[in-house]
Amino acid sequence: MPMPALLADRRLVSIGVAVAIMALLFWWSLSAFSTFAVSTGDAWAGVFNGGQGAGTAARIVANIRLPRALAALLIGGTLGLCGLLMQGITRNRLASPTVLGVTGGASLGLALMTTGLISVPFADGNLVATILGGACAWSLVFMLGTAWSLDASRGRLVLAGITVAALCAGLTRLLVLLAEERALGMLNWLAGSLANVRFAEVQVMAVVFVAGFILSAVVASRLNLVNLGNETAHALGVRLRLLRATVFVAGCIMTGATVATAGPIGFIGLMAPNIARIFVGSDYRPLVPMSAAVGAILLLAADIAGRAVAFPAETPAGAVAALIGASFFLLMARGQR
Amino acid sequence: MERSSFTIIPTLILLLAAATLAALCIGATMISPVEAGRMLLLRDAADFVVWQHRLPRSLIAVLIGAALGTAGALIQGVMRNPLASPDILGVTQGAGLAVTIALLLLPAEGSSFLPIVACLGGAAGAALLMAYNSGMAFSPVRFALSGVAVSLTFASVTEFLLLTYPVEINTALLALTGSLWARGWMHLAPALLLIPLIGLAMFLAKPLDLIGLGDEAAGSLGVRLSRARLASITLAVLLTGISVSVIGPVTFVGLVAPHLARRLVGGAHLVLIPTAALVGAIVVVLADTLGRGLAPPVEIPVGILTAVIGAPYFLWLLFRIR
Repeated sequence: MPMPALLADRRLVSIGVAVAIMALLFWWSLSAFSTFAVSTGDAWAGVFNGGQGAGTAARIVANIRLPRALAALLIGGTLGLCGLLMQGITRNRLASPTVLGVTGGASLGLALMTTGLISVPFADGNLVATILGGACAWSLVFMLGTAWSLDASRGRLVLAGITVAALCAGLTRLLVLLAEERALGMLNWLAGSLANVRFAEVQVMAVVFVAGFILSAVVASRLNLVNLGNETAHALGVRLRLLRATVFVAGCIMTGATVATAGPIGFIGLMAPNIARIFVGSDYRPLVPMSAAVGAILLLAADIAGRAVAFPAETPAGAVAALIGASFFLLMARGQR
Repeated sequence: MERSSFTIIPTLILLLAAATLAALCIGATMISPVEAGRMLLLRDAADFVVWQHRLPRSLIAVLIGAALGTAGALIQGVMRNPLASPDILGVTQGAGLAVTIALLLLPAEGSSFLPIVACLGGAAGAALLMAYNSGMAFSPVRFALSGVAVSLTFASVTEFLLLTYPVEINTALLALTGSLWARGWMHLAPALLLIPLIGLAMFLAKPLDLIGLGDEAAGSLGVRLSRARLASITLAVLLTGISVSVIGPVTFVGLVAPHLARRLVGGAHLVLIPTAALVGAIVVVLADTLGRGLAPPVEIPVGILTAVIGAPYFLWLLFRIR
């Protein structure tokens, strides 16, 4: 009888450790690899007083470092959750916003809007563009990969997703080259960069993350049932169509928000849930907080690494994440039937 | 089949000539065909655009398109997988990564060793893929997935390197997506190597037909066919590697060209290989012309255009596979 209690403990401990690591990385990223000295006092003042009356370093922490670190945390967490939802609904551990082409579609949507080809008369037009772009890509991939049919080949879904992602990336580059003179700067953005995130975007991201977290927690038990098989889930009362539609809408919004904030960041949604599974098992309920925490850790680490690699120049966090993530994908794809 | 292929190949040659002429005419300054012809034949002071810029570029495009089409035909013949191509084998991106590393480490060196580096990179990519898939039974989709995973990894490393150690944007695009930017007469020299290689591919036509008959038939013919397999892959790696060393990793040509060729002339490799070469050449020339003509003076790299055209085709193929 002590066994289940121990197990539950271990999962809680894992989650706790992950959150602690995340907090440490968050704190470190405020001062790490900066081109000027940031002391602990500066960081503290920057975070908690908005930098008033404590000097330039603290103000820079408040206005630049803090939103950046928060963005990394929130975006990483959101992508981790998004990947988890997608993996749950497709019963495919390779699924993620990047692999299913949603990230690519979202950035194409954004490129279409910023180059003026499509105009959306909303205040937050960027967000709408990314969400719609991601939704189109997702629909296309699922049609091509016949994702919902019973004998769907998982490899085919992933292959369709990556190809759609490549197509979207090609089109995005095309648009960017046609429209931008500062093409090299855009290459950085296209790789997913946290460098220019400001507080307004972080606020939106925070809302999306919290909503996404709550939603994931709510559907987690249903996803457990789905992973037992469609018939079983149906027999147990899971409304598959509603669940799929919910995950679809949520996934598009979550991915769209991350792309609108920092450009397309890949593979976090693939790595985070799979790493989380190593520590807390396959039950989706503890996986929700764990994936979010691991995702945040991964992106924070990628951002710090991106600053460290060619200091004082910066490599976009997305490029670092892609580097590790693609290798991760390579290893994982080997195990797929 | 025999009769129609007699008309198709000359038709394709004419199409290629027309496409090349169009390439000479279209660009930041538009030239009429008559004017272009005059510039070709009578060298005079005003012929810079044609002679120094567009002609060598178009010739390179023709050669590389032909090489990639041939490489694709060879690979599809060996693999009997409709989704196979040099890109799926990890050759294109492996060569691209090797070239990027060489460019970053030794920018001052002459470019004469780039083809060798690229071929080694391509071979490494193919070897990695074979090792990755060793001991596993695979379907066409499964194999393509592993190839895409390998290529994606190489491409991520390439992009990471280019973003960490920035080079001039056009060079970056060349190494990342494949581009004919600033390819002039000096780049034609390595491209000329492709001609004898394409010729060599013709010798593999008969063995490839036999391989296409299926594993039992091929097995009963034993050792010689496995040598033919090795020769085909090696040749494909060389063709792709040299191409990548000149214009960077241009994707999808090695997939689309053999497919289109197969629809035009059927599966007999003696006609399929030249047809694939011609189709590949036309595709690359047209893609480059489009890239220069869409929004002059901005040049869209040819690799981006082939990806934009080729990816939907690949998706359609994927959709059709049961």
